[in-house]
Amino acid sequence: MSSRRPLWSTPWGFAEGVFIPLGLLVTGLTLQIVSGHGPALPVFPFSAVAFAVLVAVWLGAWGLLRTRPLLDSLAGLPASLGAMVGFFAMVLVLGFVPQGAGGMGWTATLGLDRWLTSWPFLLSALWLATVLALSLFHRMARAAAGQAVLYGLSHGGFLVVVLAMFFGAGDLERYRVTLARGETVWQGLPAGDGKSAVGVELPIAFSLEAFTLEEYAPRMALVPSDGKAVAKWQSPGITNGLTARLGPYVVTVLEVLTKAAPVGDRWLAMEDAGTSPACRVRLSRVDGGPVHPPTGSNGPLKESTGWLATGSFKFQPEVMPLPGGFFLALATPEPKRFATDFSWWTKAGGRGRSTTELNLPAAIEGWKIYQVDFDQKMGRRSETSVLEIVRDPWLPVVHLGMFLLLFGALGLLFTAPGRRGNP
Amino acid sequence: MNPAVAQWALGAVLAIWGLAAVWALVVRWVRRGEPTPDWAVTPAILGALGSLCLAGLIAHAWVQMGRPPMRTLGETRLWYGFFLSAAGVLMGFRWKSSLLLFLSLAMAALFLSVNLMSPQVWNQAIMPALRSPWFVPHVAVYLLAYALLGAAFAGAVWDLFRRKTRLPMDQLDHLVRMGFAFLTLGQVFGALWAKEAWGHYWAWDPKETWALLTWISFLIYLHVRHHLPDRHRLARFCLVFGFLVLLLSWFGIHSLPVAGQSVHVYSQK
Repeated sequence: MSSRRPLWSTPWGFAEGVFIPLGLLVTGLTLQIVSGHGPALPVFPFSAVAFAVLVAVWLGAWGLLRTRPLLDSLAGLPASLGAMVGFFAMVLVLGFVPQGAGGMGWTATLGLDRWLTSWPFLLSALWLATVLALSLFHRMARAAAGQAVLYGLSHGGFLVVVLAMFFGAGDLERYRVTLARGETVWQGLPAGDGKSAVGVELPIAFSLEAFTLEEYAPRMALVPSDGKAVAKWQSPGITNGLTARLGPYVVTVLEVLTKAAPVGDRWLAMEDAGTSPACRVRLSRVDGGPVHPPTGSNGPLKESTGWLATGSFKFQPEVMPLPGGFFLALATPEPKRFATDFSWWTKAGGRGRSTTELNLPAAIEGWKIYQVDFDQKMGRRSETSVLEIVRDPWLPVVHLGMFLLLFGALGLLFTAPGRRGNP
Repeated sequence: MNPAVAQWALGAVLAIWGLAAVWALVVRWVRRGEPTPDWAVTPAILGALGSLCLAGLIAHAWVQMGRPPMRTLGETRLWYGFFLSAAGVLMGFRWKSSLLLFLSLAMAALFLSVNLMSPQVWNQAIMPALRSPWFVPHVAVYLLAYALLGAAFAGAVWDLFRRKTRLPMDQLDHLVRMGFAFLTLGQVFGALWAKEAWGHYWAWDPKETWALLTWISFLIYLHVRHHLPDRHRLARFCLVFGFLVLLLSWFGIHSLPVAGQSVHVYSQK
């Protein structure tokens, strides 16, 4: 006589906890293979309707099952653990498989390369959210007032974040706008993966006033013959009088020019489009040996001076060739800060002038304006600036969820672990 | 910033911690057979001294470079070493645990020895993406979380191989709960920063994805501990697994196929 509990009878064990995510995976993969794509994301007002319907279904299920042992199982550890491990496996795909539509072969058939919008991923997320919601309602209903606060904050917060991210994704508007000097732009391209490349009329028109790029002083680099710069053979940013040890060489900076152009065999300071940082250096070996082998009637040189320049769209870089296939170069300066000053007009009649830079977006009538890119070849002289305008109506909901989650998690710092059966 | 200063400072820190470890082992041998726990204050004080030296090195680098030393993998290892050793000292004092102190210092020393073997290039440049008030809180909180979870990991690995001397599960739980709290904090800070910088709080960047995987791993540990408190071996395996995911998330992104799609890949050295 078997003493095994029949499958699906309560209380559930780990078999049931594993079966459901596995079943959802098989279902999801089948749907993905047959249809070739995942479910369409709802947009407002359907997103709000779908959100309300889902919460109503969860509340209804909880209400109907409140006195049944099945709810203990749905809200219990085997179901929760199975849902968490299942979702972990789904996210693991994202951690290994590069995303981007347009692939071929079995990874594309299974939807692995656009996993976020695939049936398996979304079904797994839905199951995790369902178990989370039922656990939350079940636990909060049974707790006395004041108890289970941290449980409610952490689990409720996480549920709110997950729901807001999913239902808000369809309502998020992002457009990439390329500003060019002397033009007023009111068209943008939808930004994000899988979006169409058709221009869209924007609610805001832009005109580029000024683009600013601040750079660090460039660094000198000892580059081997294969051209791959090695980090440990780079100096700090050049300054007058700087002495740096690069491999077997000692380099002293004699003169620094931030904007220079080549004239004959030297570089001169100039204010011109296409100027480049340049410096004059003196080079010797640490061991006092010759820097250059003897040439003709000249003996070996123990010291040599020359110019280095990063080059620009107009001028070639200037380097110093060294024995052994190495050369000394001046690397392209690293950007410190770049910002765009622009004028704007809205359809509603608003107008103004704003600045946007990375980490300091501008805000215009419910839209945030982000600095994304510029013409890197032109550098400081860039005549174009790429911005991204974003509108995210679900953001306050996400913030709410994040702060609830945060306070719930911080509670872990100040409370002792409870155990099953203890609040 | 003179690289030689950093090398000497690291060498001094490792020497002090080495002395602390030797002292702790000597105390243990001398007191063998005694019923009382083998807690000794001097190794903890030496451990704290090493941590303070490391803090001094971090502060020196910060002042010299004019930016927080948190940009490269090597720089983050310094913070990890500081937080881990400080956690080992503080928790060692609290629980009178020489074993926890020893494991924390050993793991911190292991990570810092990587810095000794491949010296840092102290570059003062900081890219525009990192010029934000969120930079220090986000990275510091994450490294504190990594340190606490690292201490728990060291304890779990030790416990899996040793039977007679083990860290109590309550201590591992405490470390993981604190680490998980700071992990959550770091994740939220990162999301809020990403919204200010890129316009979206979660872009499924590989670093974010692996951070989420780390978070879920320790979430699973917490649930296993709550609901199955007697399954110690299972819990220890969950802890070890979670930390391996953490290591991939911290160091391994650039070697994965998804590396090219990440804005989070550390600059070399």
